[in-house]
Amino acid sequence: MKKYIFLFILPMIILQYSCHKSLDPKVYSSLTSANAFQTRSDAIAAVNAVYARLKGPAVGDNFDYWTVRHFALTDLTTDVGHCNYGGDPGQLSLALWNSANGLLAEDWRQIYKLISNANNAIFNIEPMKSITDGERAQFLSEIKFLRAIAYMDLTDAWGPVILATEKDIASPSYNSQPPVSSVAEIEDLLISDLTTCASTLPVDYQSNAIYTSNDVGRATKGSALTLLAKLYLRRHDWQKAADLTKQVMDLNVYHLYPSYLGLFKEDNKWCEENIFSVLSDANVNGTELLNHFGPESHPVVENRWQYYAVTWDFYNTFDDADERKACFYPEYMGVDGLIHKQPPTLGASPPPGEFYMADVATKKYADSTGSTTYYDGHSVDILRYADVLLSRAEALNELNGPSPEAISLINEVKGRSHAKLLDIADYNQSTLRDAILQERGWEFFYEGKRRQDLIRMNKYDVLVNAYLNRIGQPSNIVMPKNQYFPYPLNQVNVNPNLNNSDRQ
Amino acid sequence: MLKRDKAVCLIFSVGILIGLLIACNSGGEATAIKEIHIGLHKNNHLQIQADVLTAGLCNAFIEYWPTGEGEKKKYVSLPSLNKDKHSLLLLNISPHTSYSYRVIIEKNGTKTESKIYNFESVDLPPWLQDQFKDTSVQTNRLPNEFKNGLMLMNKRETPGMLYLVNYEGKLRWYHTINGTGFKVSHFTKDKTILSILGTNDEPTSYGSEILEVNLTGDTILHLKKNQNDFRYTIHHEILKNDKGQLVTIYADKRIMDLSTVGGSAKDTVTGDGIVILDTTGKEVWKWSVFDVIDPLKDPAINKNKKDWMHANSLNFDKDSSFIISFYNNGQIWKVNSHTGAIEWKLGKGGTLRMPNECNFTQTHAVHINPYGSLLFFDNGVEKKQSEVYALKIDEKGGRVDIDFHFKLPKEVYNERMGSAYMINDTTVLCCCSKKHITVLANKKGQLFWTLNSAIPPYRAQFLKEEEVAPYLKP
Repeated sequence: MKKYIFLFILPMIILQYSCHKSLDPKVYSSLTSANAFQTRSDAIAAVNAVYARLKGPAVGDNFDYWTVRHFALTDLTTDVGHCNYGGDPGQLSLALWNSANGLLAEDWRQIYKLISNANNAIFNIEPMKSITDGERAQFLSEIKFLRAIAYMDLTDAWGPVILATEKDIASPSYNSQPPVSSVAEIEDLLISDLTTCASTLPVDYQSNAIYTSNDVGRATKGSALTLLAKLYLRRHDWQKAADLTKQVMDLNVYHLYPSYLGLFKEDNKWCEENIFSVLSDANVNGTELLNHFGPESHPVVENRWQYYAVTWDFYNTFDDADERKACFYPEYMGVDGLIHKQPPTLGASPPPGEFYMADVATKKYADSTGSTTYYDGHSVDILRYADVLLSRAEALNELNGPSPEAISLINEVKGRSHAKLLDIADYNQSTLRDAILQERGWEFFYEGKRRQDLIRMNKYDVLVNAYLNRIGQPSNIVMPKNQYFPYPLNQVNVNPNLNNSDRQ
Repeated sequence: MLKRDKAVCLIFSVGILIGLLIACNSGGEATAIKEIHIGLHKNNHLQIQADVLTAGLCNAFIEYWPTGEGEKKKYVSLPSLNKDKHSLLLLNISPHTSYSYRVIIEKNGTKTESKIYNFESVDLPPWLQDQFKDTSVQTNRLPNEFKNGLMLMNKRETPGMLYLVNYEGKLRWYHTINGTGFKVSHFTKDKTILSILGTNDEPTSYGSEILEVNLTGDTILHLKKNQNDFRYTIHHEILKNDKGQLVTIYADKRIMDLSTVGGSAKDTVTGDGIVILDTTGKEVWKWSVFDVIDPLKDPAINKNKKDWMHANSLNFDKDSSFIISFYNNGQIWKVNSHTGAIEWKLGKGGTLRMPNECNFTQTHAVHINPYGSLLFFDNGVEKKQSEVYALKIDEKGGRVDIDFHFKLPKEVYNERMGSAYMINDTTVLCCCSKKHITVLANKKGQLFWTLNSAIPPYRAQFLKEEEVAPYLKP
């Protein structure tokens, strides 16, 4: 019988097999990235993540974008900023750069990371069902304001750039080589976005229904109006700039802080002058501003690098009565036992016991009474009220020449620092423009404004070359070639539409 | 011949009959998996939920593995028992990865496997990407215990996050909370995470809610201030005792007459205490520094009144007494958990004699390590160098001896918060909170691994493989 056992087993196997085969279940999957944002907390976390990009990467390098490296583009490349270290910052400091400059590449990368996070958040928040329309409008406005900051910075530095928006998220193409958009096209988007932001965002976050803890660092109506004013100023659309700055003033929530030095104290996180700032807490999300800006070998502000400093040439333009001159470390006994000070003449050799500093460190992000730790809690003011006053003065002067109001606005800023006030009788439109440019230098050094101010007033080559010549360097700035930086080499390599032929 | 044909037919027919019986009994009914729905579990991008519908009641589970790595990296879901609608949870998911899986159902001891199917996990949302980065791995020197474990960290700002991270800086599990932040979190023996929740307005490790979640994201317990006897702001630590009760530090505010020392007749002095609550918020036991010392004996009480005695860590001694540390005077106390009496004080001005080398000032995460020593992280503010101490306490002799002690490199000096936990008998996981760095050090203070994090972790509690099993398999 053994030989028949297969007759017994065979049908069993066939039946087993056929039974299994007929039992294939239906499989459904809802695993798509479309359901990334489901709760209000998801939306808030996404919004917060875009703010966090103002400081660069989430981990490591706590000195990116608006918390240090952006200043390499905006201030080092002018008559104000100086870096005594070689390499990429040294090149920028001497107005010599090319597309391989690492700081240019890094700023581009970090700004686009913000834009990418912003676009992703907009794309995902727009269809959310679990938030109210009011919340949606609030969140989208905050994100679009931050994206506008990023595009303003990009177009300041590179002019026409790739315009990526939330529309690109629906069907992303990682190998596309998009063409650049003109500055005008990008500005159209920013004007539309910022106009919406100004009508949506609250004036402040006191008793706010969405954010219950008075979140002062978030975008507001005032910050949207101010950024829009800055955009029109850049376009030389003076009337709109004048109107918008007036709207900010009429909000009646901003005032100059009584003391310039006090404004930049580390513990003065937020005051009546702040319109939009990158805030830091040394305990939670500290920055390395103090490391980069603090004086070298200083007995109180210890172990700092004096990486980003100002030129002696610029420091010497301050009037002694001007309290802003006290915002520096021009002379001190170093921990090395040498007196650190300014050389009497360019290239002079110091006598024994002295050390001639190549540049002078500022207290703006190196408060001697603040953190003594590696990470610090200084904030960076991207938009503040003094800028509104001086922007309106500039717009008024461009519209009608010197006026009592324009002079009064400038003197309000000067008066806070007990600087010598202007007399209208001394100025015509052209000389007042120069005075405003100089005033902006004294007021906003290392606040990311200088290069754009010089370009807007057609003085980038004139003033920077004059400074370079004074320190024995050739006239390295050539306009219009140097109005925009070359596109970073690593970007050009992946997208030939980024054409550097007219900019290096 | 006829007989033989008949016999063949008979055998064949019996085969068919038995085959049908087996197929329909063990397979036909029990193996009928009708539908499989794959999606995210509670919208958590590292957790997949598979809802499986079967034709009849049975047990079910899923085996799954990253397709690229094959079945050698197989995970198994927890089973669903005796149901026809099974909700199976797949943990240990890596983002943006292809997975293969099969459903296995079981009835009457017979297992039936489905075909192998696939799914692709989704990417992490932007706010969870790039939050951790291991920077200096020397993998061959890392102890296996460390590689097989996870670190618990928490984000204090709203919306709060709990993170379980592996030695490669990979996020292996997370949990998000709406409207508040995770101020302090503690992994319990019940394989749950017990936390103090607080809003952005509340200081670093202070909060007003208690939340317990398990590793499948379910809420086990959620108490809010003013519920029953939970009437205090709590801070710095939350533990479970052997009875499953909640043990935490609370801020004790007392109205006192400070007019003789420059204050007002009805002034407020804030000290700290220990409170035990049951799971409904009912007070079981309470102790306060005011019970054992008189604030008026502090000559600077008017200056110190807002934060007179600032406790910053709490744990159990071997005998279930409490060990509590204070930031303001750098002392560590043992408090009897029945009588409230102080059994000893360690530190400057304490009751235990210490060797000269024992020179700590601000201690954190004070606990008894697995080898019986008192282990803690010292900020080392005066020396500007953080240290780790493990001390042998001789209670009868009234003295302590150093088990081991090391200084961390100055580069990771951490002047606030921090923690140190043993990984094995030679390595210590140290959290340098303010530097956003967690390091693995040997007993000489040499580092061979660091983890940078976007958050400043309040501390990094290490969870061994067996502590997170069967949910997670690091």
